[in-house]
Amino acid sequence: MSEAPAYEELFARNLGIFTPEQQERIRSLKVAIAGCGGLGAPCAVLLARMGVGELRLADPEVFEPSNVNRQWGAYLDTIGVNKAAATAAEVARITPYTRAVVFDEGVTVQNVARFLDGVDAVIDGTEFFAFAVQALLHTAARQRGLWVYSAQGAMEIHTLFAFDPAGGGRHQRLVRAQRSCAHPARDRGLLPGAPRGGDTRCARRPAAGAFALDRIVVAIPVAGRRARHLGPHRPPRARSVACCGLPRCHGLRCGRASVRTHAASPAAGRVGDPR
Amino acid sequence: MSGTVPTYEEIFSRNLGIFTPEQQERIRGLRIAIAGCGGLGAPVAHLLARLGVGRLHLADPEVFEASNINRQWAAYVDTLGMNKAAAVAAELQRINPDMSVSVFSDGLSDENLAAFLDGADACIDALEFFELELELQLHEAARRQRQWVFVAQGFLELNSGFAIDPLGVQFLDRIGSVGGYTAILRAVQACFPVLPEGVTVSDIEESITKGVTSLPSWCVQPVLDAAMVVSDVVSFLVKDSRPLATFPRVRIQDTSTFAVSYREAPDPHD
Repeated sequence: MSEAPAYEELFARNLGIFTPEQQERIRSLKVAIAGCGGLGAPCAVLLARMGVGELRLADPEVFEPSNVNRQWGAYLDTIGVNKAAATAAEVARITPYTRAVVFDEGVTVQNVARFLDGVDAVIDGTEFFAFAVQALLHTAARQRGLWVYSAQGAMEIHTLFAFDPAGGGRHQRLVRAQRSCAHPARDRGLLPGAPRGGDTRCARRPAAGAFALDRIVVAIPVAGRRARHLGPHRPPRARSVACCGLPRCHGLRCGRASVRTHAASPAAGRVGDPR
Repeated sequence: MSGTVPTYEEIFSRNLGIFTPEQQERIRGLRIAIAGCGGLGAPVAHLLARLGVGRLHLADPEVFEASNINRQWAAYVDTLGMNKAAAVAAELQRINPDMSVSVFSDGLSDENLAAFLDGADACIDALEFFELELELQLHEAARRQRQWVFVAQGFLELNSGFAIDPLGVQFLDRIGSVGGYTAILRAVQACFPVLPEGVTVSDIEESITKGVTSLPSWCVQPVLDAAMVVSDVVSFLVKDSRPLATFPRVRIQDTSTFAVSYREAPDPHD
């Protein structure tokens, strides 16, 4: 077909699920998707079929044959093609009204501002073990007040979660939950190919949660510690802490102080407590 | 782009662990008939291809239209005007080179139902609600060949699904008659013992009387439904597990909360 149908024609059937005003809002949405594999590519396709205005797609990898069994941008003819670029091509086939911006170098320190500035939400579809990228992405999103949506699957279990940029307390609770579970290494039975005997399906659910939370532990304290350093109430130096001696470290940067040491110090008690 | 086509084992290596090598071989040998290649049928075919299923029979007489793009897999700007079954088949060839797809681009009728179901391990009924007569013919033909039929329907925010045991309660048993207004109403009630929020039986009666055949629908719903149907049918065929819901038990998913519940289709003779 030479000429593309009008936006209203393509997305007519959305009406009733969304009001015309909501559909207009969808049309103006910009979403950043980090990672165009198992989670990111279907998200991109579905957002395009919903009619969003702009997608920013980041992935440094190319499609491999073993991706075809689950990744929506992976076809025999896109093997060897950058995942973000192939996903953008898929989006272009769906609708000319979704602008797809490709970041084929992935999310990096250099491009994270360009990747996130002006978007309405972030989807973290990065690999499970890409902790450094996740820390960078989540911190930068938090600084911009953006929600980050993510999901993980381990065997038959899926977890879905959204990070509230203002949700410090919630994150701390999540961190505690992770600590109350066994370390993720215990749950290697969740990974394909490993023995799965003994554990029941129900017992794996919190374990899968622990898997997901492991990434939060990496990402959130970075933001949390920055906030504590940059915020108006700097924690005063705790006298008893054996620290690295760096200015304003208080044992937080070097990791020598435990949270308990700080809370126990009478000076630190005054920070959040006017009494 | 690589010069050589990867092997089946390379493409589907990551399935292992979810399926044993023997189960993957069974998946490769499966033949599944999909009636309807629209909102539900196309994503079902897509997911079955990404699982490595060897043979599909696809039937749909319609062509892709602009208003299909908001939700139907294989509806692209460049496939508008193409037959749905043929367009889906063309996309599937990009996923699994070993796959063989038979296209029934004239749709289903008395003449080709037997050929459509021939040799299939299961049939997926992704027909529209308003093709009830054809749907019942399909079920009857499948029952005669002792084949299970997996049905799925979407209605506003609800998805409904069930498997029909060829030796068990049939869809027709809960409808009472083949044609007419009452049959459509009972079919809706059989699929949706729970109605979407704010919808009443009289709303449905009014829609049927007025001949409303297109309801609002979006892309998220059929993907969720397709994932459930595919997981259900494949677990049934290669892991020998029971279907999630065997008719008259019905699986209902509320796609606004993702919650799934199970209900019994009402019996019109009660």
